Amino acid sequence: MEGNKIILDDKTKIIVVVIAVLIILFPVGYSVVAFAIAPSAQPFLEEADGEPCVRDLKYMRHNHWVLLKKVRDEVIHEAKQAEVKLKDCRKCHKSRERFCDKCHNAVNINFNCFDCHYYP
Amino acid sequence: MKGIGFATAAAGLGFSFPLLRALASSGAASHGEGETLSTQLGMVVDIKKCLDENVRRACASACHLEHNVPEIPDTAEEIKWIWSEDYKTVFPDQAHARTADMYKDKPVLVLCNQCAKPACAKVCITGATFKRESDGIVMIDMHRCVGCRFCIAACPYGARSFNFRDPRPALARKGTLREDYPTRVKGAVEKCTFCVERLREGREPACVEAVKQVPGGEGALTFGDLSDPDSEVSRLLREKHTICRRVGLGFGPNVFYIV
Repeated sequence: MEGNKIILDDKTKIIVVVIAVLIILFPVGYSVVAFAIAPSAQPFLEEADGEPCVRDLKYMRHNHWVLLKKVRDEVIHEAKQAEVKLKDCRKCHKSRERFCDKCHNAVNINFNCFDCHYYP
Repeated sequence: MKGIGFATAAAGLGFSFPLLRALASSGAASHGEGETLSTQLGMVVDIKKCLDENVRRACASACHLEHNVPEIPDTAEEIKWIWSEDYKTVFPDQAHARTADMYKDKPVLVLCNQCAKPACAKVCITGATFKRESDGIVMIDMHRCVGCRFCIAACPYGARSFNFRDPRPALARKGTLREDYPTRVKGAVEKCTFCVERLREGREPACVEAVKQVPGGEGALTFGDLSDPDSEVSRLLREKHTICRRVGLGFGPNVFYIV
């Protein structure tokens, strides 16, 4: 029985423990490092030219779809005048590729506005 | 005592069974006769003036151009908002063996009747089709339509069309794709909307505007608010004898025909 026992000296024990700890921590460390060195998750959007937007930049970045859906329901269901129209958007945000698609692709969101509404 | 007991029991049942509740208050419920909207837009069509093919063609082409309606030659898949049909098909309960030659087998201009109690809205499973209270237009919220086509089966006037294919290639082929009006997608149902987008800007529907340009078309179509007694449509309806399509069905069509 005694012959089968693996006997490690202190130095080897420390090395084994260090390797084990490194393996365990690898996933966490990898994401931390990758996140730190990766380029910004936000795609670079160029400045739209034209008049100021209907809402401020921060609101539009995070909630433009809330606004569009609100206006959509108001126009169709309550017969109100449209506060903003998609065709007004394209006056400043001239290209769908450079504005809409760029972000939506980066965050992997599928949307179908342009199946019906024309946007160049 | 027994009667009261029964009534209470029936009311109790009614609360748990919507169908029973609907039966108990049949007719007078939400879609009852007495209920009228504060505004109900409607149209009066002069059949005589619309016998002229140019007038009818002008309406249809103006409308279909305005709303990105593709021209599909296959009648099984065609899409139409305003079109012509035989007198006997349009008025099956009016046409008879001795119908005047003037109308017999003659085409009549037809479009969505914007019914007071639309069957299409009742059967819509997603609430995409609804009767808009502010102007009485039967609207389709294209964002909600799932293309089940129940409404097509329900509409007795055949006013609805289904997009069997993407309309854009057909429009692009003809070069009539308009950028300022949305197209539809494959699998959506569409119909006449009395040109809501034009009404919003204070303009008349495209067909009404188009007939005015055609010689002899003046007054072929009159559009206005039926609930306003001073409107042109109300005046016409008071003065002339008009008929409606399939009144007996009880959907309350809002397109009237001067015979």
